[in-house]
Amino acid sequence: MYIKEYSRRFHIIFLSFLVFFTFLIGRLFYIQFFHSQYLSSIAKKQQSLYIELEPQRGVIYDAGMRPLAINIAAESLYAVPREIKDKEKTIQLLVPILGIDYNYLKDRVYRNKSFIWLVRKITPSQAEKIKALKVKGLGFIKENRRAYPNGYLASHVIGFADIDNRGLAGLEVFYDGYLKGVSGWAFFLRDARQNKLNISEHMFPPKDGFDVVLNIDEVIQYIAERELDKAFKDYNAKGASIIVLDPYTGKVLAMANRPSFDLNYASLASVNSRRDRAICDLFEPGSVFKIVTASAAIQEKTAEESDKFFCENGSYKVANHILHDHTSHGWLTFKEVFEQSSNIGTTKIAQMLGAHMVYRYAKLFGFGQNTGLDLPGETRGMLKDFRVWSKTSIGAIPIGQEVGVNTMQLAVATAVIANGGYLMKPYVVQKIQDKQQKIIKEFKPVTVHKVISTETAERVKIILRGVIESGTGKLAKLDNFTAAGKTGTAQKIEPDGRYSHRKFVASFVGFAPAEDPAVVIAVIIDEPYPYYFGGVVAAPVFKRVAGEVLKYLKAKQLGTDKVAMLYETKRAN
Amino acid sequence: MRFGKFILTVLIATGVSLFYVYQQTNIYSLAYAQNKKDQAYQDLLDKNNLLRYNLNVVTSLSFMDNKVLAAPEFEMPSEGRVVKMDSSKEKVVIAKNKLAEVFSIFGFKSQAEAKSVSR
Repeated sequence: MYIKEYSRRFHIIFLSFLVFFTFLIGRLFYIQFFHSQYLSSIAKKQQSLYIELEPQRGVIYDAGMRPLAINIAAESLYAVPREIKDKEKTIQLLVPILGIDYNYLKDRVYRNKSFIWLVRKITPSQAEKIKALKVKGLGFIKENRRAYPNGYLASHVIGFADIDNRGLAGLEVFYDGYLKGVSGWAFFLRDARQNKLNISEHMFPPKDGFDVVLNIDEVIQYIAERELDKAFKDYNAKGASIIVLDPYTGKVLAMANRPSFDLNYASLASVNSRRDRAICDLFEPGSVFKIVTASAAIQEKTAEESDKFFCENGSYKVANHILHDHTSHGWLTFKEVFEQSSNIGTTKIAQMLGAHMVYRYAKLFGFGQNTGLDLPGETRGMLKDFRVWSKTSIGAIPIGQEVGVNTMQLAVATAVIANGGYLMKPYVVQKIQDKQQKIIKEFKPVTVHKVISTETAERVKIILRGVIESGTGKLAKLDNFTAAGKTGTAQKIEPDGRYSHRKFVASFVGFAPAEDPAVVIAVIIDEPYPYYFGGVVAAPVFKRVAGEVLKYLKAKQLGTDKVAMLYETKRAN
Repeated sequence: MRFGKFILTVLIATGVSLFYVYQQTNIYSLAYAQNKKDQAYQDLLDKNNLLRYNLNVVTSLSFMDNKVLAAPEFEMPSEGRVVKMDSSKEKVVIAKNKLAEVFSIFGFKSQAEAKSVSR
C-alpha cells in the first residue's frame, strides 16, 4: 500500500518532468531551427550599426597646384530634445554663440523628437564654446565642409557646393561626377550603451573624389581681378568681365567678373553677383566685331590695306537708317578704317563683301554657337542667318550691332588672329587626377577649325597693332612689350527698343606681345560712368593686366631656366 | 568513471565559455582604446587640415592684398634697406646704395683693424 502510493506520486512527478523537458527540448528545437534567423537579426541590429561612409570631395587646384577648393572638418550640432531639461535656458545660451534666430532654435528644440539638426557645419570656435556649456541633449557629428582659401578669387569659375557637398555652380557642378566620389558603408560593432566601436564586420570603403587641376593660374587670376575691380569701381560700372587666354592652346588662364562674391559665403551672395557674366551675358559687341569684317575682307581679297574708302564725313545712309562715326572722317585707307574704328568705312567694306560673307565669317569665328567651354550656363550668342537680315543689317552687323556675343566668344575670336588663324576650343580644366596623382583624364588643346590663313592673320595683326600705336586703343600701349587689339563702345538697347545714349558697353580685346602672342585678353565694362569709350575705360585694364602677366610669365620662364641651368652646372661638376 | 568524464566535459565547456567571454571583453576593451586613439588621431588630422587651410588663406594673394597692401603704414623697402642673401657663399651682402657710392670719396678706403702677426 505504502510503496504503491509512492510509486504513483513518483510516476506523476516523473511524467511532469518529462512533459516539462519535452516542452523545453521542443522549444529549443523551435528556437534553433525555426526562429533563429529572426532572433539573430534582432541581435545584429542591437550589436551592429550601419553607417554610410562619406567620401572626401576632390580638391580643385590651380595650374601651379595651389589649392582653390579644399575640404575641412566641421562639426554639426544636433539636439535630442527629449533629453534637454531646461529648453528655454539652452536656447538663450545658443543664440549668441550661433548668431541665429531665436524662433528658429525654439521651433527645433521644442519638437518631440529623438534627433534633430540644429546647425550644420559650424565654425571650430563655435563648437568649442558650445562644448564648454556641457548641456545634456546637445551633440556633435563631424562632417566635411567645402572651404575656399582665396575667398572671392575665381569664384565664378570654381563655383560652390551645398551643405551636403553637392556641386551647385561653376566647376563644382560641371565636374561634380568626378569631384564627389562614391559613398561607402560599414557595419560597426556597438556596445550595450549603443556607442560605436571601430570594429567593422562588413565594409565597403568610400571612393574619394578625384582632384581637378585647372589651367587657371592664381597669380594671373589675381592680377586680372585686381585690375578689373579697379575699373569696375572707378567707372561705377554695372558689371565687368575679363578673360585671359592662351591663344595657341585655348587654355583659360584667368576669368573674372564683377560684381563678385566670397565662395565661403555663397549662400549670402545675391543672384546678380553669382552670375558668370563672361559666359552667361549676351551683349552687342560694337566695334570689336570689326575684326571679323577686316579678316573676311582680307581673306576674300575684297580689299587691301592701302585701298581707300570715303567715310562720308561722318554720316552715311544705309536703307532708311543714317549711320554715324563718332568723329567724322573723309578718305581713310582700309587700315585706317579699323584703326580709327570708322563705322561707315567698315559698312562700305561689308557691302563689298556681301551679307552672306559677313555671316559666314562671323560663324567661322565662332559667333552664334557655344565655344565648348567646360563651364555650365554658356550662352550661344545671337547671330541672324543672312537670309533674314533686314535692309539695315549690313550697316549694323559688320560693326557689331544686331549681334549678341559673350566675352568668351570675343576672346576666342581674337585668339584666331593671335595664333595664325585657328579657332581653338577654350578649356578651364587641365587634368583630373586621383589622390596618388595618377591621371584619370587629361584635356588637350582642340582645334575646332581653320578660320583664316596664317597670312591673313598676320595682316590683321598689323592692323590691330596700328589700333594701339595710332588708333583708338592708344591707352592699351604697353611699356616693354608690343601689343595688338581693338576697342569697342556699344550702345545698349533701352526697354523701348531704341539705342541708349546713356548706357554703353565698353570693351577691348587684344593680345601681347604682338609678334609672338602669349596672352589674349578680353575686357568688358558694362555701363561705365562718366567715361564710356572702350579705348578709355577698357584699354587701360588690358595694358595693366597684359604688362604684369607678361612680366610674370617671363619671370616664371626665367625661373625654370635658372633651375635647369643650376642643375646642369651641378651635374657637370 | 562516467561521473568523472561528465565533470571533465563540464569543466572543458566552462573553460571554453570563459575563454570566449574573456576574448570578447578584450575585444571590446581594445575597441574602446582604439576608439580613443582614433579620435585623437582624427582630431590631429582635422587640426592639421585646418592649419593648412589657414596657411593657404593667409598666403593667398587676395588676403595679402586686403590686409597688407591696404594697410596705410605698409611701405615697400627702399633699395638701400634690402639685404640680399647670397646662399652660394653663405654671406650676407648689403645691396649697393648709389648715393652711398657717390659719397664714398669722403670715406676711408679701408677700415682700421687688428691683424694677427705670423712669425
